[in-house]
Amino acid sequence: MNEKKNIPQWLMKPDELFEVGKKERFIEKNIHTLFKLLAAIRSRSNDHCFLSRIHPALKLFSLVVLLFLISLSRSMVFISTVGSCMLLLISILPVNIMKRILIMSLTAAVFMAVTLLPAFLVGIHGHYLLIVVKVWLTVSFSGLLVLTTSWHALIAALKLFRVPDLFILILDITLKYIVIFSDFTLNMFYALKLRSVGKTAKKAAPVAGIAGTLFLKSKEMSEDLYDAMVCRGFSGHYTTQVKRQWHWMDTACSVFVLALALSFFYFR
Amino acid sequence: MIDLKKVTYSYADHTALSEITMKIEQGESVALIGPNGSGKSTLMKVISGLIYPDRGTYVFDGTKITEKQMKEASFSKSFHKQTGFVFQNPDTQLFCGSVYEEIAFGPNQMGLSENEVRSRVSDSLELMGISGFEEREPYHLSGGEKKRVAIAATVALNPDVYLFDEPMNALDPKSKRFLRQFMIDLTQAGKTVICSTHDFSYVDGVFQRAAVFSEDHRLIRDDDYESVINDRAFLREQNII
Ligand SMILES: Nc1ncnc2c1ncn2[C@@H]1O[C@H](COP(=O)(O)OP(=O)(O)O)[C@@H](O)[C@H]1O
Ligand SMILES: [Mg+2]
Repeated sequence: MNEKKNIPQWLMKPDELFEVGKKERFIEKNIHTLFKLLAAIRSRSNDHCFLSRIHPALKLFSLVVLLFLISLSRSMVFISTVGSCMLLLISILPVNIMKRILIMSLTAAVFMAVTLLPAFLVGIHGHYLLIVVKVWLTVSFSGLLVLTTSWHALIAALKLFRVPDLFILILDITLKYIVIFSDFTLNMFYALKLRSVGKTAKKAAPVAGIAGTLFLKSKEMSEDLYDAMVCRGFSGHYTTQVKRQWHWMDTACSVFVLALALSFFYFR
Repeated sequence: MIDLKKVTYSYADHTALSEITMKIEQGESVALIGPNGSGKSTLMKVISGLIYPDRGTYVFDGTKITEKQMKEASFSKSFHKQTGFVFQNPDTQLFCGSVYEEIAFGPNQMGLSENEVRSRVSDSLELMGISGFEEREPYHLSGGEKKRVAIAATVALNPDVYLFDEPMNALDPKSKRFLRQFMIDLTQAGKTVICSTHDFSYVDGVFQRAAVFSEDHRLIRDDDYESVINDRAFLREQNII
C-alpha cells in the first residue's frame, strides 16, 4: 500500500460526457420507490397527536369493537351518530393526519359508490347510502389507528390477542429488516446511479448483482443477529412487558366506545 | 480467567486462527491489533463462546468451553452474563422494537425482577448519555446512537469481560472520545476489556497490553501496549500503520 504507483494517463485528463440512456429512468424509478417506502415507515414514528396517547392495545381493541358494531348495524340513526362523531374527531386532528385519513377514506367510499351504482340505477336503493357511509367509517377508523400508532406499538398490541411473545419478536425483527435492507438497497442504487454514466443494452443486469449482494448480506446479518441474541442470554424464551400508566385519554377512549356500543343497542 | 492454548479455527477450509496461545487475567485491558482478516473478530467469537476451537483448548474461569458444556442452559446463561460482546455492526446487534426492550432483553433473560430491570435500563441509558431514548425505534437512530444503545444493552448485563469489535469504526470524534473514557472507566472498575482496533488515534491511555496478529492468522507479539505502539518499524512491517 505504501509503494508509489504511476498514475495512468487517462486519469489525468477529463473524459467526454456520454448521453443519458433509458437505464437512468429505471434506476431513478427504483430509487424513488424505495425512498418513499422508507419515508413512510419513518414518518410514522414522528406523527404525534392526542390519539397517540391511548394505549395501543386499547386502541386496537376499540377498533375491533367499533368495526364490529358498524358492520352489524342496520340503523341509519346509529350510523349517522358514528359518522358525526367521526367528523368531530377528524376535525380536531393535526392537519397532516387529517388530510391522509380524508384522502384514504373518501377514495374508498367513492370507489364503493361507483361499484354499487348499477344496483342503485336498477332500483335497489335500500341500503345504498348506508353501505357507502359504512365503508367510509370503517376505513377512517382503521386509518386513525394506523396513522397514530407506531409499527412497534401496533405489533406489541397483538399480545392482547394472545399472539405468542416470540412471534411478536419475529415481527419486530422483520420490520427492522425491511428498514435496514431498503436502506441498504437504496444505497446500492445510488452507487449504481453514480456509476451509470453511459449507455448499456441490458438495463436490468446490475439488479441481479444487487439482489445477490442483498442475499449474502441478509445471511450474514441473520447469523450475527442470532449470535447477538445468544450473547445476551437468549435461550428460546422471550417475554415482552408492555406496561404503562393509565392516561386520561385511555378513559376518554373507553367512554367513547362504550357510549357508541350503548347507542348501537338503543337505536337497533 | 481467559486461557487459550493453541487455539485453531477454520471457516470451511479457510483458516482464521492459527495456534493462538494467550492468557488474560481479570482487570486487564488488551488491544487486539492486526490487519483486516487477521482473525481478531474470530478470536472474540471464540472468547464469547459463539464458536468453538477446532483444535486447542479454551478455559474460562477454570471451565473448559466446549459445545457440550455450552448446551447446558444454566452454564451458558451464566457464561454469557459474564462476557459482554459489542459487535462491530450495531445493526446486527439490535433486534427489538424499542430501545427500552433492547436494553431490557438481557436482564429479562437473566430473570431479574421488573423493578430491577427498569432501574438497570435507565441507569445504562444515563451512563451512555442517551436518557429519554426509551421509546425510540433502534433502527431509526444514527450510527453513533445505535452504538451507544448496543453498548448500553451490554452494560445492562454487568459482565466481567467486555469485548469490543472495532468500536471506533464509523463514530464521530465526540463519540470516540466518549467511548475512550468509558473504556478507561471500565478498567478502573476492575472489568476486563478486550478490544480489537486498527485506529490508534482515540485509544491512548486505555490499554496495558497489546496482542498483535499477522496476516497469516498467528499471534506474533504479546507485549506492553506502549512499547508495541512506539515500535513504528514493526507495525509498518506488519501492515498495521
Ligand atoms: N463467516 C465467515 N465465513 C467464512 N470466512 C470467514 C467468515 N468470517 C471471517 N472469515 C474469514 O476469516 C478470516 C478472519 O476474519 P476476521 O476474524 O473477521 O478478521 P478481522 O476481524 O481481523 O478483520 C478472514 O480471512 C475472513 O475472510
Ligand atoms: Mg473484524
